[in-house]
Amino acid sequence: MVAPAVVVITAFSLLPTLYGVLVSLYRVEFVELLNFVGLRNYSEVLGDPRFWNSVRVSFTFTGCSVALTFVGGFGLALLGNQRVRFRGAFRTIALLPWVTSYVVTYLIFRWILNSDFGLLNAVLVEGAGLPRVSWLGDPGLALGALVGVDVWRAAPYAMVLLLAGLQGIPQELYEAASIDGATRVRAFFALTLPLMRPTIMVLLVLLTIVDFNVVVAMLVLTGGGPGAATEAMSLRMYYEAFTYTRMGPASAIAMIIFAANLVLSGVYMRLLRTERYS
Amino acid sequence: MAALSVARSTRPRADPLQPVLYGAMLVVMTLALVPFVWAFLTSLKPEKQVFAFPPQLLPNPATLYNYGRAVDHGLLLALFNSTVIALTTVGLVLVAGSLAAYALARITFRGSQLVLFLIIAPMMIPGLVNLVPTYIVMAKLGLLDSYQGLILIYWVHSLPLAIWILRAFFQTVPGELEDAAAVDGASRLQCLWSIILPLSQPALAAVALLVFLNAWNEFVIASIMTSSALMRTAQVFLYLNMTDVGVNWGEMMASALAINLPVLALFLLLQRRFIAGLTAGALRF
Repeated sequence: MVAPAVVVITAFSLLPTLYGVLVSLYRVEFVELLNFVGLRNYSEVLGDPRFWNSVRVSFTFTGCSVALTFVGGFGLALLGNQRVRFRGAFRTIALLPWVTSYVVTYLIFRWILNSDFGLLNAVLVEGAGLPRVSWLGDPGLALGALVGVDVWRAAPYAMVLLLAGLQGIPQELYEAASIDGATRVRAFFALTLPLMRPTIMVLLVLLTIVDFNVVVAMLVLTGGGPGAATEAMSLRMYYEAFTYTRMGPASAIAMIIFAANLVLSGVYMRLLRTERYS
Repeated sequence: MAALSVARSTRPRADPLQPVLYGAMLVVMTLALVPFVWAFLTSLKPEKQVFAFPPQLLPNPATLYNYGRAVDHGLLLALFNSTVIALTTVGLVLVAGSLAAYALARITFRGSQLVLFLIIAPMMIPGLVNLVPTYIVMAKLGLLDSYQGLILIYWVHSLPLAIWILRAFFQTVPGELEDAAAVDGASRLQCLWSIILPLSQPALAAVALLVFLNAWNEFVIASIMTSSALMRTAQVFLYLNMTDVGVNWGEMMASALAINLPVLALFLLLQRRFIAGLTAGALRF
């Protein structure tokens, strides 16, 4: 009964990963492995300043995006957890960005951020009398825009996970705290945050892995530009493989990304384990 | 103001923070909705109004011209391709997934731990890492640019999570029902089909929705696997129209909204199941 699943997963998921290791050690012509070159693909990648630029972009993007998504998502979760009217409608609407695909999301924002005809510049120029801003034409702003849209897309996801965590906290604890005279703020820092720690940890690592591996965001919103200002490692790999058809170096980058992911997954699993035993 | 609204409130213990809460909720909902609304308004505008600055808020006259253009450029075929691929993937995942999950939940056999590990291990491998080897394997198997190739990959990528969720759910179904059926001579497959699956509809629905959403929205694999215009999925169609045709924003917004409509409609209809799947799916990514 379990055979079909095991066979296809092994053949098309596990073996390709091993095959990827092999590819990264070969000189590859299109899809043919020519000859074994050892670590030459790796040294080529590591000697390329564009790779190091992409490392910087990946870490900047991931760091900013995870931090802001977490803060935003926590805010949304606290709002969604209040006993107020329209709570259902609020949760539904807040989640719409999450069901929307990356391509659709980033395309709509590319239009909104358009420097000539975009909505954001229209609001700035007509509404506030400010000068036009070239959102996607300036290196710093382009990366900022990527982070901003990513937060817009991912905060609802964070909200759902954090809401599940919040609802697991027994309400009596808050009642007891309030009888003891604790303010809301105090209750938040003394009760909510510590009790949410496992959920928070899991969420942070999940977000980190997703952001670290994202390709579509940059591909659709900025194409990695201006210059290579928003070219993350993931996008660099995609370009190497499928624009320049350099499968060897692309595989080397993939393996470096994989190593980074393994470290993050290791952290993730360790956190899950502490959650179970504490 | 705040005191006034509290006094008017019919609730016994009205919260003094309520106006602030409602304000914040309003801001969030506005932020979430504005991009969609703006995309919709743009999609209804004739070309001259799309490229006007400052932009007009409302299309005048509203026209479906952009939707017609999108259809001319192959929108319907792309939607059809995505539908075939996503639905087939869901079907295959449910069949292979429930079989494997049932075996892993109920039968202890030699090596069942190893099998579980083999199934769960891919969840630790991000799809990006497998991109190049998958492409090479698919090229060698002659499955590039075909329904079969994409369905196969989506199937394989969705199975671990599906098995994980279903196995956990099957384990909550009491085994006595099957024991009774087994006494009456029912086989394992009959037990699965007539006892477990009917009781597991919520989990099956959550898995189906999650798999459909992922297959429908997936872009990176679809972009490398499809090369001909005939095989383009909806997401690839959208991206390539942006880069190939030059950017006609009215048409792009029309396509984007049409492509987003199925998942949006499913979400609005079946929100609870979606959220159940999402929370269970937290173990992935």
